[in-house]
Amino acid sequence: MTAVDDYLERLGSADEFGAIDLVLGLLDGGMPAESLLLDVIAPAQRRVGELWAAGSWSVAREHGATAISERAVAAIATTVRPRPTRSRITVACTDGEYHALPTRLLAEVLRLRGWHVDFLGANVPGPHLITHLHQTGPDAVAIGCALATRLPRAHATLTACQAVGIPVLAGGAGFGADGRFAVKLGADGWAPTADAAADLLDEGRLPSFPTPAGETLSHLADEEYTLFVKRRGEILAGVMAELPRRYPPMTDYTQAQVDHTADDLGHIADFLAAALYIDDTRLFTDFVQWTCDLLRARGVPARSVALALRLLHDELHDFPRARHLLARGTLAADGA
Amino acid sequence: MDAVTHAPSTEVLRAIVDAASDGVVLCDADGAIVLVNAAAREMVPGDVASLLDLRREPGETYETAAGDRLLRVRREIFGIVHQAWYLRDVTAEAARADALRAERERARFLVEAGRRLSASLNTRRCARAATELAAGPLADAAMVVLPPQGMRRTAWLRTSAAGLEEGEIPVTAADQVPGLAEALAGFPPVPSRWLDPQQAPDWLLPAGFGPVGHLLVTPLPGNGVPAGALVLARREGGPSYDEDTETLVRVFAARAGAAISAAVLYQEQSATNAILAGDLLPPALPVIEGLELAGSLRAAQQTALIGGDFYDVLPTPDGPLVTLGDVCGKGPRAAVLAGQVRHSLRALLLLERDPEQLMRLLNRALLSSPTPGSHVTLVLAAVKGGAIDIAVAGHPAPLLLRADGVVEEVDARGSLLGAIKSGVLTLRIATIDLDSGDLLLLYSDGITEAFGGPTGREMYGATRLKTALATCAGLPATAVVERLEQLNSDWLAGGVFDDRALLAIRRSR
Amino acid sequence: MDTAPFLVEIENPEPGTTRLTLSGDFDYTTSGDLATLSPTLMNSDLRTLEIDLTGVSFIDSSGLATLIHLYHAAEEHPAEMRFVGMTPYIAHLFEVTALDLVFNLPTSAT
Repeated sequence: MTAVDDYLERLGSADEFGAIDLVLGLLDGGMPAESLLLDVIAPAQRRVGELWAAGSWSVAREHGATAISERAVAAIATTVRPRPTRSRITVACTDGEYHALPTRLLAEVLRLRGWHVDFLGANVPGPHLITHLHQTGPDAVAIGCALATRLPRAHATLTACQAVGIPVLAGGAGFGADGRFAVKLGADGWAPTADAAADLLDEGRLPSFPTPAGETLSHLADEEYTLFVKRRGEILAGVMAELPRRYPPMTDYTQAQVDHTADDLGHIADFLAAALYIDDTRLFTDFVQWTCDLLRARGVPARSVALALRLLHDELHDFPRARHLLARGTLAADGA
Repeated sequence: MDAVTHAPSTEVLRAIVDAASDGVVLCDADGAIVLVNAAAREMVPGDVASLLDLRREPGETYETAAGDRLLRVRREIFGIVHQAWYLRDVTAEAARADALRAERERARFLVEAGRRLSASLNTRRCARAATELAAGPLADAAMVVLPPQGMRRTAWLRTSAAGLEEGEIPVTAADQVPGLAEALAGFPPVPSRWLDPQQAPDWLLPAGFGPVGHLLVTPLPGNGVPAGALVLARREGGPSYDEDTETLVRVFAARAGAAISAAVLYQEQSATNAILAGDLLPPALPVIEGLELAGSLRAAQQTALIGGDFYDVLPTPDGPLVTLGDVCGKGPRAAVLAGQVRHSLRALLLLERDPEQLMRLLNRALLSSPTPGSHVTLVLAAVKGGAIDIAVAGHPAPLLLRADGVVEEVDARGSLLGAIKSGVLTLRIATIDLDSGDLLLLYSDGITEAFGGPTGREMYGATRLKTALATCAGLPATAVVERLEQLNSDWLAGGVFDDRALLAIRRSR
Repeated sequence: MDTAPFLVEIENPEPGTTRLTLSGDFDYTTSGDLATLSPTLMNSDLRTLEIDLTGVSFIDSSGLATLIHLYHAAEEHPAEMRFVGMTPYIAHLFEVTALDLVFNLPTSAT
């Protein structure tokens, strides 16, 4: 059995002590701490995500596994503590981002490589981050964003960091697998993985002062994003009211089921908002595809997604860009 | 009358050419000069032939220096026997263009300096920006020595071809550089001054910098506080500092000084704030055998992360006393009262450990508080082995998540503390058993009263919280708290929120 | 979140009785409006202070604190303060804070 499988098995059985014993044992056996983080814990956590997406693991089991990995990372951090020899870097998850582990891994890798790291954790409010930057004056701030829905807030944080003169390194799946959203939002650097991010910083490939971004989001002038976010509540309420008429089984839903449907609809709205903000069709169609796969794995027909998209489409008369995204999304859902 | 045309004589032609304001030099096919007009003689008193470039194409213009003049020269060919060079003195024109260009560069430099220096309120970042800006346009090596702020040692930053360097010197070492000690002390006021390069101590310049040609020490004028000094060095053979550059250095130093002194003030104040607020931040939770503890606190005031919600876990000989409360109001004012309540509890705990009695004592203490509106809602949970005594005052009752996923509301209640002057405090105490895998959740009303949801106007409510909690059976306490906070934040969907607190106690399996 | 504007209506349905009808969000940002009214309300004729909370959509701890402040002011005056209307949400809030044991509430709501 590989170390990853062994570790994953312990995560799956909520065996916190077993998982920590395993990583500390590997460390003792001479495995470098960085490989332990990136070649054991990170791939195992990716598997956890896949198992959840495939419907094999419950949300609770996934959360439990992540909590154990957090402890395992903390155990490694307290065992291997190199003295900082390089300058200061701030690492934080963007406002509203709760998936802290990938960002935490970056913080630990940087620490192992001798940087003086301030890790601010998950869901860092923008104003707090800025205060921290003024107080500590790091050479760079690394911002993690796991979900594309957090991009508008990540953008606000990113520009605020740049406004106080600190260059921003963007990372995490939220910025797109190819980092194209990081480029669009004007980040000073982007890296797909923790070690790539660390290499980039090690090699001094970030400017010492942020480069002013051009007008990259000029499409926002059409105000579709602003209006959609402002009217999100009434738009979704309209769709929720229409749904039972178009999907009769819903009339018998329990409150919990109704809440669940509203949640799913909320997610669609959040991704639609993000796609409007960044003006990227693939952001939305990828999400639709992923949702359909997710639902199918749980025995829910993907038809319901297409229906929700159609209803949203009908609701959004004066939103040409959103209607285009929804039309493309519906195609993706029909094809899924 | 017939129009008679006379061809001008050679003398007339020569006179016309001589009167022209442009210089004219005429040569024959072999390049031998046959004519030099007065203007050309005036422009080039010496040998004019050396200026004539025979390789130029006809019609081509080039510029060349003649003594301290700059000449623009054009070559023309007439027939096969003559070629002419036209000379124009463009010295003044070029000087004007140079001055304009230099002026534009200075303006661009100052705009960029303003942009970079105004960005940060961090002393080190401001000083770094100042050295990076100055290195290049103003110097080969630019150093900022920061004000010592009462310390024995003081920090410096320097940018040169060697990159950014940072270090510290003893404040007394400033005496080795004339004018530096005064600049650091901010008194007596000294103008910027040129130093004899021989006077420079080793630490002033990067290793391997080579012989120094020019060395300038400029005090950084702050807003009433000294902001340190700027040291600029140019290598031997480099351009000297002319009057314009010196003016530019003074303007730049004023900007850098203002930025650094603002940063120094901010750093001092935020350090004081951090010390004062440190006590108001949520405490690190102790490790207690057999129990998992996890807490989360989100303050509505996001800059300092402090607010009216608080929690604490206080050890007693009988077992930990867990508290979670909410004081009336928001922001720092509320946080101060919350800190007082935590301290009072810690002190009262030396005399009394019964939750009910603690509530009564705290109520009396709050009622006698000179600050009006000192109202507090509070939960006290005294953990004694497998049992927990719970007292609730004006606060939502804690929830109990059993290992099998059943959620119960603890049957305890009581009135708000510090509110009702007349009458007695009514309290109903509950005792619960916390078995292996069970979890007790304390929370503040910021969780249940979070407005959001699909319509953005709906309250999260206790029912949703209970439903969410029921899905957390079997999870470690940290995962439960994280998940509940996440669900609640998703509900808010970025909307405004009140202070929110969650604290979970789980008996390990 | 769009907040509902906080309004206070003052009536004198009969001599010696003042009725306050509150509506909207009664919270940290708006509670000061009512607190500043308190001295004016406690005039020499006041015997009964009636408070109608039917239109109040939200109360936070500052709102509650203001009600407690009014209650104390009335007690000292002396006058009787009683609630003449409220929603189940506010009744629940009074129950959680145990203010239902102190305040004079309409019987229908509890």
